Amino acid sequence: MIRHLFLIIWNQKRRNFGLILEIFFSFLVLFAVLTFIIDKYNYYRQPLGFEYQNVWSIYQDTKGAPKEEVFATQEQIRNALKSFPEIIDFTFTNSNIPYGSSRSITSLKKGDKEIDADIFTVDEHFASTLGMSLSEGRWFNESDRAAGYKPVIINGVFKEEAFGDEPAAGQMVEDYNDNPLKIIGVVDQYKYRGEFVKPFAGFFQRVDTTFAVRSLLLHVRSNADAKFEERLNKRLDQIASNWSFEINYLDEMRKSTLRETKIPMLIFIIISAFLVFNVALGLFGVLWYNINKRKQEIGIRRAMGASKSGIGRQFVGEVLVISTLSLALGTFFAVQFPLLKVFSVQAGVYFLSIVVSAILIYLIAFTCSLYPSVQAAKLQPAVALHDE
Amino acid sequence: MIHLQNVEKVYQTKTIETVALNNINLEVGKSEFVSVMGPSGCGKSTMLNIMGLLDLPSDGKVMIDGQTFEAYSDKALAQFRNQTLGFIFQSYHLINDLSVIDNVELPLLYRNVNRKERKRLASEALEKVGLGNRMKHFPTQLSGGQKQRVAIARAIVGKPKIILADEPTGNLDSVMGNEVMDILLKLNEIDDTTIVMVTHDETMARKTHRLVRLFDGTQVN
Ligand SMILES: Nc1ncnc2c1ncn2[C@@H]1O[C@H](COP(=O)(O)OP(=O)(O)OP(=O)(O)O)[C@@H](O)[C@H]1O
Ligand SMILES: [Mg+2]
Repeated sequence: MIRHLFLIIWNQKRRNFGLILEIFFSFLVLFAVLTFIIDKYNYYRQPLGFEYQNVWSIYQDTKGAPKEEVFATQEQIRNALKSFPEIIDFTFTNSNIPYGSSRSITSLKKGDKEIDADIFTVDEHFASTLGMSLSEGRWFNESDRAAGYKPVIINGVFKEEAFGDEPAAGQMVEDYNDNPLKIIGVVDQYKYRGEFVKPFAGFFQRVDTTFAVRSLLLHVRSNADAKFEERLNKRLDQIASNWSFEINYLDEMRKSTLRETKIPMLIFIIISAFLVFNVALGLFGVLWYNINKRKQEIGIRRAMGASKSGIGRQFVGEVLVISTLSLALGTFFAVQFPLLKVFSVQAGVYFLSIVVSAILIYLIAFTCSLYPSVQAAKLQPAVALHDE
Repeated sequence: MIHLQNVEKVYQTKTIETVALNNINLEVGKSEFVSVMGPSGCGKSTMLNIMGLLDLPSDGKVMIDGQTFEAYSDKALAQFRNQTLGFIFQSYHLINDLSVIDNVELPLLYRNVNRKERKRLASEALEKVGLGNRMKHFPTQLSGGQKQRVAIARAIVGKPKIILADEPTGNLDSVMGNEVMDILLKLNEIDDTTIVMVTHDETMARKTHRLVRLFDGTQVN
């Protein structure tokens, strides 16, 4: 019977060709959208690696003050912050903070391997302020100040690229000037650019006297309110009246960062839903039209011994065969993406996307063919065969 | 072989009620060749459809090959049609999307005969109607007489006990009509096939064993 279905479809290639193309394109659209969503979702599922709740960021615009003055003023700020009971912990850091807009990248060497990585310049309190935990080694502490080496802490992606499954703590790497760096710890995950962004290799270095960092992260108690913010602002103003301070809340920054992914995602979903809906309508229309055009055939088949359910199965079956042909064509194109590595998306994501798109297409095609096929099955043979 | 008892068929449409068949009682014996005549609209096709289990009577009883069908499921009915009945129509009713041989195979397809056997039986049936050389053609490439012979091949491919033919020569000229008629006569004579044939043609009707006349849905003898 399957062979017979292919025969009917083949003998009506011209009629079915349009249908195949239509299903083929909607498959590709679904595939593209689902790949995007699955890819993003995969990153989303990975742990963030830090806490953003009740974390505030303060950017200090030092108005071009020389770095010695900045250090002195920051020391005063440090002492002042300690007197606020609302502040649990705080840290001075370079401005590539979580959900911020800046990024700084350098490359490190491990043997003859060069690894591009985010570089975070932070102090001893960074991990505790952001609730980060280490999978190997330790965070910076006072002992690093006097040490004869330059300590760094790397993230999981860096470790994977440089050391694979081997432990990394205690190992050495070099910066681009061939200066040795000692790895003292590993944090598995630090997705500072947001939940949806692919994790990238990165490492932390301790802030020193080479340059001044201008961001400040506060971990505040949950009762920290606008009044506290006002007092804080006043105090900062007293210390550095000619600087300006910009306070932001990490959870707000997070929301706007997530929006950057969610909005295009939503637009894609709406467009593809619209397209797929159109295809479904078209499919339904064509099938409906076919059945009216093929009334005679239905009557003949019934007279020759096809049962009602046999007719229904034939019509649904034709649609499923046509869908299968379209999907075979679509899959051929879709698998080129993982094969040619067009985007930096994992092959597994593409394959899952192909499977889910195919299932959706089958469901849509099946649903659209169901009603017309039931109508075809119900047709009285004597009526269907009526000579005009 | 075919037994119609007090068969009535009423078509109900919005405006009118048409009595297409009125109290028909008819017995067709095994291996009998019966022709049915009557003016247009008198219910000949309706009667044939009821005999062919393509339509249900409004009232009365239909018995074919010793079976009644009240308790038959749609599937069982389809199977019975497939096994016992062969149909020939005035307008051939071939499926244009299928080649001649694929058309002829159709009844066997619904009988789960394997592909090779289907091809063999279908070519055999086509040889029988003299179309062994047209198997790969499509219906649109054939003349009316050829189409009707394909339809006959399709009707006989499953070796049914009964053939129901609704004006099989109605669209053919007399030469072609006679050819078709000869095939039917041979089927009846050699294979003992029971045939009921609707016709408008007295000369054709006279070649059969018995003539049934309908008028306005009623049998007149
Ligand atoms: N599906 C239907 N719905 C309503 N009326 C119908 C239907 N089929 C047939 N009729 C009516 O039943 C009557 C008998 O029709 P039928 O087709 O059996 O006539 P016929 O004897 O075969 O005529 P012809 O020689 O023209 O083929 C006609 O009056 C016709 O209009
Ligand atoms: Mg008729």
